[in-house]
Amino acid sequence: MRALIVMVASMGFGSCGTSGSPGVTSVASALYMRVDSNATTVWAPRTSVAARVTESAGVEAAFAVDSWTGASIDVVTAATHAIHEVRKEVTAGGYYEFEDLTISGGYRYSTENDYWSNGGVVNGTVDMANNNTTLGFSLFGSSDTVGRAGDPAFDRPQGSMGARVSLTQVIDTETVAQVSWETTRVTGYQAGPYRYVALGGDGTCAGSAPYCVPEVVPEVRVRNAAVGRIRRAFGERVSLGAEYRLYVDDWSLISHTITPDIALLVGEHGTLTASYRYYTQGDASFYQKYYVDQTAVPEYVTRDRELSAFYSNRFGLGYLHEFPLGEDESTVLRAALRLGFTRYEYLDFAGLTNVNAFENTVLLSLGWL
Amino acid sequence: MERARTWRKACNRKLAAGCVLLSLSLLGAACAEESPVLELENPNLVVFQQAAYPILLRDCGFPACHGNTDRFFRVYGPGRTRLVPTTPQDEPVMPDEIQESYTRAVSMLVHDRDLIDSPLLHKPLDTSAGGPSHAGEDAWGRNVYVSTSDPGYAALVNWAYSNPPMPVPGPTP
Repeated sequence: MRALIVMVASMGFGSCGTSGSPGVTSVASALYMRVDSNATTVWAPRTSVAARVTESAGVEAAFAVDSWTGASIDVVTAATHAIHEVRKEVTAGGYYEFEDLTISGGYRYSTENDYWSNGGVVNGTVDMANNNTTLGFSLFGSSDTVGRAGDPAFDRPQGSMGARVSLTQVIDTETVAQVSWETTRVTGYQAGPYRYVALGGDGTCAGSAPYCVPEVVPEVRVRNAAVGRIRRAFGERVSLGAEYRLYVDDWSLISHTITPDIALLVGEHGTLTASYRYYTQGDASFYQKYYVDQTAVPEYVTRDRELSAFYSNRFGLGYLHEFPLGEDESTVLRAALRLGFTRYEYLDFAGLTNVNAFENTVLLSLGWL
Repeated sequence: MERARTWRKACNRKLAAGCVLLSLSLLGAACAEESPVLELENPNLVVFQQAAYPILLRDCGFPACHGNTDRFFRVYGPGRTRLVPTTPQDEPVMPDEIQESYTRAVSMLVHDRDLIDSPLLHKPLDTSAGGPSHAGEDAWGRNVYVSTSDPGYAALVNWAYSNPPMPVPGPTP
C-alpha cells in the first residue's frame, strides 16, 4: 500500500519542492458532508494546491463546491418547495515573507444560481520578541449580488468590509495564548430572498396567517467578535485547549461560544482530538416569534431562526494520521476524519424547537517539506 | 423572572451599543442606508369582487394550484376549493370566501419597490413579458398571462391600483 502511495505521488508531482526550493508544497482534497433533522443536506468537496515560488514567496489556489438541498421549516412554512443549490468557489492567494513580517493576500469568487460574490483579503503578521509574540492584522471585503432563482428582475447588492487584529503570545514552553478582535460592516440586502413572514394567525404562511410578506431586515449590520484562546501541553503527548468567543452586533444580537478540546498523540504519527462547543445567543432586537398586528407591516419582519434565541451543544471527534513517504520522509501523506454532532435548541421559533445535525469531513493531503 | 429577563436584555443592548460604537469608530462612521418599507395596500373590495376575484378564481384557483391549502396564496369559491370543505361545489360564493381571497390577494401586493413588481402582478407573467419562472405554465409552456395586455392581467392591475386611485401603468407590447 505504501509503495503504491509513493508511486502515485512521484508520478503526479515529480518536481515537487523540497527544503525551501520552488515547487508544489501541498495538494489537498476534502469532502464535507452534513445532514440534519430539518431536511437539509450539504455535500462540499474542496481541492487545493499550494506551491513555493521562491524561498520566501508562495501561492495557493483552491476550488470548492457546495451542494445544498433544503426543505427546512423556513422553506416549508413559506409554502415553497424544496430548494437545491450548487455553489462553486475559486480562491487564489499568495504570500511573501520578509525577515519578521509576512504579507499575504487572496481573492475569492463564488457563484450559484442566486448569489454571486467577489471577496478579497490582505493579511500581515509581525514576529516580535524573538518570535514569542506575533501580531496579526487583516483587512477584508466583499461585493455580492443576491438574486432569486427564476426571477431575473430580482437583483440586490450586498457588500462588506472589515478588519481583524490578533496577538499571539508564547507564555512558556508549554503554553501559547491568543486574543483577537474582528469587526465587519455589512451593507445592502441581508434578508432571505425566499423567506416570507406571516402576520397574524398561527405565525406560518402555510397555516392560518392572513398576510404573508417578504422578509425585511436593516440594510446595515456592524458585527463584532472578540476571541480568546489558550493551549497548554501536559507532558509529551497531551494538550488541552480552550476558546471563548463573544459576538455582538448592532442588531442587538449577542452570542457566547465556549470550546474546550483535548488532543492526544497516538503512536508516532497519529493525533486524536475531542472537542465540545457550547453556543448560546439572544435574539435580534426586531425579532418576534409571532407578528400579531395585521393592520400594518412592522418596519422589520423576519422569519430567520438564526436571529432568534437558541443554544447548541456540539461534540466533535477527529483523527489525523501522517504517513511519511520516501527514503528521506520528505513527503507526507495526511489522512483525517472528523465527525461532529450538534443539537440546536430553538427557544422562541414558531414551528421548530430543535434540530440534530451530523457532520463529517474526510481529508487527504500530500505535503512536501 | 420576566423582570430579570428584561434587565438582562437591557444590559445586552448596552453592551451591543458600546461595542458597535467602538467598531464604527474603527471602520469610519456608518452612512445611513434605508431599508425598504413594506406597506399593506388597500385596494377597493368592490372592484375586487366584481373584476379581480372572478379572474383569480378562473385562472389561479385550481385545487392543485392556488386552491391548495399548502400554499399561502389561496382563492376560494364555486367550482374550486371551498373555504368550508363541506360546501357543495356549485353553491354560490360565500362572503367569507371573498373576504379570505381578498385578504390573501392583498398580501400578495406587498412589495419593496413598485406595486407592479409585487408577486401578484409579477409572478403570473410569462418570461417574455418580464415575469419570472412560475409553475403555472400550460401544456405549451406559456405562463398564466403571456402579455401585460391580456384582459385578465389588466383586470388584476386595475384592481391593485383602484383605491386610492393611482395611475395604472400601461401595457407592455
